[in-house]
Amino acid sequence: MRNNPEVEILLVEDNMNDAELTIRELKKVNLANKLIHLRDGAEALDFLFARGEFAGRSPVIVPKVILLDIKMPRVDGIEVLRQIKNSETTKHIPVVMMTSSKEQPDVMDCYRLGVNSYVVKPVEFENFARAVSELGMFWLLLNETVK
Amino acid sequence: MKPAKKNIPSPEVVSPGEPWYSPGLLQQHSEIFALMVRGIKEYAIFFIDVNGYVKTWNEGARAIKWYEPGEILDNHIAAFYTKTDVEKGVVQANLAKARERGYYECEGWRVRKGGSLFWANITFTAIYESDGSLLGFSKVTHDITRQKRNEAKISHQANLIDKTSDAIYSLDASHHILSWNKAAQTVYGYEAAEVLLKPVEEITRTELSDTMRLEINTELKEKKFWNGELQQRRKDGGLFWVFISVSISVDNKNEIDEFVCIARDITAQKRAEEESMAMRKKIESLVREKLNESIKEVADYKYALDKSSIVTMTDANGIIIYVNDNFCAVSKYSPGEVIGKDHRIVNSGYHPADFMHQLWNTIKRGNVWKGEIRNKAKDGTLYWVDTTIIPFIDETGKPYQYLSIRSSITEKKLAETALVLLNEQLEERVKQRTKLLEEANKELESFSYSVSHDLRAPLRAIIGYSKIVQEDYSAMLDDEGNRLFNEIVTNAKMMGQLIDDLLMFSRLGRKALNIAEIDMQQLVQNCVQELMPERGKYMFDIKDLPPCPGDISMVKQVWLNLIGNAVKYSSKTAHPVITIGGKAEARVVTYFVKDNGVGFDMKYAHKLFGVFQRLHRNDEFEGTGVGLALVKRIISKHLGNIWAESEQGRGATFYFSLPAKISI
Repeated sequence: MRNNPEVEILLVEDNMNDAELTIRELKKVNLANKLIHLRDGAEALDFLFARGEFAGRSPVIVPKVILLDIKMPRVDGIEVLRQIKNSETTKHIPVVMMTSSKEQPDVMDCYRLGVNSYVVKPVEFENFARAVSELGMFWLLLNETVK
Repeated sequence: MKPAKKNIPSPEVVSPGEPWYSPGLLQQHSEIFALMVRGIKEYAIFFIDVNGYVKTWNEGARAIKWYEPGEILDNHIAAFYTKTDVEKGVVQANLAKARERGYYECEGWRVRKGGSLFWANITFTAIYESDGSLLGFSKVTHDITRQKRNEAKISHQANLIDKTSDAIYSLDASHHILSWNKAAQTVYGYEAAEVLLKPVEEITRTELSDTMRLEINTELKEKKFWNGELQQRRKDGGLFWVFISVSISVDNKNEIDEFVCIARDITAQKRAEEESMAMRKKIESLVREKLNESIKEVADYKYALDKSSIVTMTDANGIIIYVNDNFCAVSKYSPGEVIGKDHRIVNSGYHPADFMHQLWNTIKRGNVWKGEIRNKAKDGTLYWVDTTIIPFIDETGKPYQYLSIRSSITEKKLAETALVLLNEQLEERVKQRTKLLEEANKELESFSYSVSHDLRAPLRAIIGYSKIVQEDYSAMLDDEGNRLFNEIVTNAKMMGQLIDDLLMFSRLGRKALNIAEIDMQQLVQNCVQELMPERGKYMFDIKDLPPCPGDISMVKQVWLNLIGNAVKYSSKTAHPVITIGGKAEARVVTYFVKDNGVGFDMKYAHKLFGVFQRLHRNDEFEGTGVGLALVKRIISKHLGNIWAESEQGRGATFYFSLPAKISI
């Protein structure tokens, strides 16, 4: 799956619980079949630009939507976003920033860098689940034509 | 006054035609007569015939009329008359009168040989033959020009004497009064008749010391003249001042002939003089008094100035002409070392040339200069003086001297320097503190971020996995098992709320106010709408709410909390009524939210606004205990007040006031 060229959703999340819960919700609406979960920003960049671990991958094949956590070890979500939006091959990919708090001082940075959407991960599981699945649906369905 | 006529027989005494000599005498002694007559020099005596032709000529006639006998004999007497008199027929008239009366005397201007005039007294006497027929006339002419002139003079003088306002009187050698003019009557009060021939001392009663009398007499003897001021008495005894001139005329033996006294009453003048003298003395004494006062005052000022200040004086060129003790004390120079020099001797070189130019330009124009100058003492120590330089201006408007008054401000300057240093240190400290604060804020921010991010993640996990268990394994759990999972979820959610509230509370502390006029009516309506889209059993009574300045997002939190509380704590009331109102006063606008809910016990009122302080148990009313603490913090930031009133079970009213004008 990690080298599956048919990636539709790229989930970048260092918290395995959040990742599991997110994937479970997406599964419920059948959106997790072509999902790849990466655990931090560095992995995400390697994947997107076919470097390091993903050196053999074709960089031309890109996900239809990227769900990106902001606070991550090594390379954080802001930096990943910046590089995505700075590269010709990736800048058209819709990026949804996911964060656990509105307290985030870099919300404005995200918008400046061209984020497509921004969601606060609700504590309440139901809301969270709804948000994730709606997001997945929205971007997958509405951006079908982007590729 | 007529001149005496001693030399001419008076017509009253001898009547014309009546011979005054023995009839035979002329015949017998005509030769003797002729000789007598011819020799007389003082009178012109000559004989003219009936028609007026000159027939004899004597020495006197020659002396008076300057004709030699040969030039005038057989000439008519018309030659002696002025042209005017001749034309008027005076000559013939005189001859006719003499013929008629036998004797005629007259006076008039006559002409000498050469045309000069003299005033003549002329007598015509008819001379008859023994048969009684008229032979001719003897004519005696006397030149009385001088006499005439004196006469005119005397008459003029007499006139003057009578007209003058000065008393004029004369005394004989033994001081008896000989004459007394009209003014003397006025001045002394005596009629002439009362004083004539009386000793003058008895009349004028001069008040005179013996030494003075001696002085006057001596001067009179030497110079025949004395004048001066004397005190004399009037007839009525009144003492008065006269200015008197006494002159002595002497006879040809140099004996005193007459004293002439001219006295002027100078009482009024004297009084005026005395008055003006008194006035002058008074003024002088006043002036002296004032002057002394002023001098004393000036001396006092100078003393005070000398004691208190550093005083120097320079001439127009800035050369020091005076320094006081204070100057010497401060500058360590003796007067001898600086007088004659200029102020460069104490120049510390601290002030730029411009500064000194400006100083000189100011005072040269006659303006006072003030400023602070750093000077250098003889031993090299530097001292600061607060300086005032005052130019003294001469009548052309140019300064001729400069007075410099200084006071030492070295200590003040040191204090100023220290203050500047202190300020700099303070500023530096403030900068450091600000930096620390900024760092602390940043840390707090990242702390908050971590809290919100990292504390929420496990909560999400707890809730999420609990839900999964409930969704996928509920069949394997009994009711108690399900209830316990519900408790886990409820508590996790509760903790999530707590985190949110705390974050908001801490964020408020760091947020700057964004003050603008708030339409409270609108804001409250929005809040109510937001909290209770459907009113249900609740009744809201929203009264007039005056506008007020404030940070709208924060004030909105206040309303949300207060209205939210009112809703919450009246939820168990059958017919909850929530009243919201406000009132604008001079300095503040006060608002309130009143409910008819459970209320609270006033003895716990002090705990209302503390963080995590709750007056109700969670199983009664849910809450985190942060809401009112947040409200209090917002109101405090607006410099407002918040308080509450309540009675257990009868509802509560929360008031808050905001300043009507905020300048933060």
